[in-house]
Amino acid sequence: MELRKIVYVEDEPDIQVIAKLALETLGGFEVTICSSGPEALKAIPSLKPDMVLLDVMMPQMDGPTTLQEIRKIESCARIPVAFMTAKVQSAEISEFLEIGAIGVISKPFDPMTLAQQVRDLWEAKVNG
Amino acid sequence: MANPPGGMSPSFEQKMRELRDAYEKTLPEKTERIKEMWMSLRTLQRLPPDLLYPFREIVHKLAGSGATYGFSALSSIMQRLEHKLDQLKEFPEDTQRFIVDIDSLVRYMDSVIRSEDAKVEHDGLTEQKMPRPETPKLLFVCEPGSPLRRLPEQIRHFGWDVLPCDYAQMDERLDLYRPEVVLFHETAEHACPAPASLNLNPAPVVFNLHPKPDLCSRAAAFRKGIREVLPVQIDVAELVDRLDGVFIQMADAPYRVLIIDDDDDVAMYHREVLEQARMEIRLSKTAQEVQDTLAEFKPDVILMDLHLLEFNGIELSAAIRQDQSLKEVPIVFASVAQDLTSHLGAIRAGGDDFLMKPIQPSFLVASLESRARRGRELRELLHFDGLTGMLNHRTTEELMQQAVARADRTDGELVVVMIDLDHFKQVNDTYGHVTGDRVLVNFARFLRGRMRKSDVIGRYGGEEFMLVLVDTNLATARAVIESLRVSFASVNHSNNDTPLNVTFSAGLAVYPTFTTPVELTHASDAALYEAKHRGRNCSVVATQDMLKSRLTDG
Repeated sequence: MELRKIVYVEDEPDIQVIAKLALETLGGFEVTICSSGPEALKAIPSLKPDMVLLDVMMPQMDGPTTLQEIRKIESCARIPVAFMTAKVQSAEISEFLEIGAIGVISKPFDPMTLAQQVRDLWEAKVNG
Repeated sequence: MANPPGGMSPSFEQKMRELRDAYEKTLPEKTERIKEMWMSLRTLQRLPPDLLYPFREIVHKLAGSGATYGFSALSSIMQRLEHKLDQLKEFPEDTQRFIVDIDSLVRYMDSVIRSEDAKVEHDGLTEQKMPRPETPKLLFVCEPGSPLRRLPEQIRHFGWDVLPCDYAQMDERLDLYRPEVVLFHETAEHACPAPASLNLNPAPVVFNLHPKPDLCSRAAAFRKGIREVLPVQIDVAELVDRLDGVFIQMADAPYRVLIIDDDDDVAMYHREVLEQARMEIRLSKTAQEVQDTLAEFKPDVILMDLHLLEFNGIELSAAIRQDQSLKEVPIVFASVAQDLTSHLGAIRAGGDDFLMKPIQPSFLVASLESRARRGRELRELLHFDGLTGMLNHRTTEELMQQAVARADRTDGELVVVMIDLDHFKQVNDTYGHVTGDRVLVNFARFLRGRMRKSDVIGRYGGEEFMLVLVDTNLATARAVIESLRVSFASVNHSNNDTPLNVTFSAGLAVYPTFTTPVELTHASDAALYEAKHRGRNCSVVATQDMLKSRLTDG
């Protein structure tokens, strides 16, 4: 299996553009950006991405809630999901892993290495 | 620091730059919004969490996106701001203090955005300090008939503008005068107000003059956001020292590190790590680049790879050390383990240090910081006079020679001034050496407060001082020295009821009337001699005749 399609859920436009550029140009992925949890919930079932990246702190619906909602959709229950967060303390990381995330990428991310970080997480989960 | 797969594509770099430029253009708007939100929030005095939440949200976002786009200085300010907002929630009783802190952070953000380069830390700005205005403004608030009424006049001598007022006038004066600093004389009837409650936005820095400061009054003042509580009896010079501490001083400048490494990835990585730790970095790859950099950048410490293209690190460091002004700069080698064992002898012989690659970020920061600190302390010992903190004799002469060489090249003007305190031996004999030393220290502070940054101020001998006023013509220099002379004569150095005033005499020699450093020194000295001869407490401009007769008199 190969990682190709990614949905990135993030409410901050500045981060959206740079993440999209980094993931597409350096990772060669096909990236769809969603600006909120509800928007992602609408898009994910039809896009069927290979992976979802979720910002933790979002207005309306935060990252963890969005993950739980994704899991409730049968066709999406097994899509690997990783969190993007500025809070990378071990307690929070284990909490995120407990609710079913495959990993956590710390923010601010380095645009140069983001694609590789995502790929590493995905491969550890799918092929590892 | 891993490389992207397949290397960096040029188109990515290009797009990245475009995104970054676009982002940079939005920064003034973003920071303006933060500033405006804060300005309206802070007027509330009480800051309920639900009102702060949207503000914190915006700050948080800018912290994140700033770091992602490489604007580390801005991002770190935003992180600190976010942290303050979190603390505010936890310690609501300290709200007024946090308002002052956030005011300074917002002001700091503003100055970073206005400066050309929001990407790196610069000038050693911290949230607690601001750049020194030419003449800082102090509002002195006290009772109408206060015994401290002579204080403003004394503070003025040290380069401050001071406006005295009584309690009832304070609000109006704050609004009109807009001082950077407020000095408040606290009495039983008039408690020092919290800076955040004053009629000035952002809040000024407030010092409290208290009849009897103790731990309780100081803790209470801290809670209100007052900078410091000082005893009423404080010595003027000491007080001015505290007031000047509000502004950025030389010792606050970030450590400067020169990285010499021909591996771009490693160099960039080290740079990033050290910049995050608020150090100022230059990168050089070749001997030529090192030379060019060292011409304008005096590092506190050099981090050098042992393996370089033309010359190895040991050769290059030996060459650097032959430059007199770089003799004392610590050099740290970075290399892999097997190199270090074989070169340990050579490295140690140069008195240098080494770090084993790969270097952990925290370890890199800690080791360079401690060596930079040591390097800077050593340089201070070598270049500055221990008592007055002025440049010492040798360094003054070196800088004077450099200034003359520059004037030569650029057809510029400069004036060398030799100053001697009058009857200083009497001061020592009558009041003791402690008092004599205090006068010297006061004179140093006095000059620092009144001269430009570019001027050279040195202690030439016991009570003899040399000033080099660069890009200055004789008429201006005379006016400056005369105003210094009159002003210094009215500084009171006494800490009891009997006033102690000291005067000085000065000799001025102008370039290009006198063309060499030696001539300028002798001429200014001859003019000083003439000034003493004319009865002291005056200044004299050197002529060729004075120089000749001085030289023949021996």
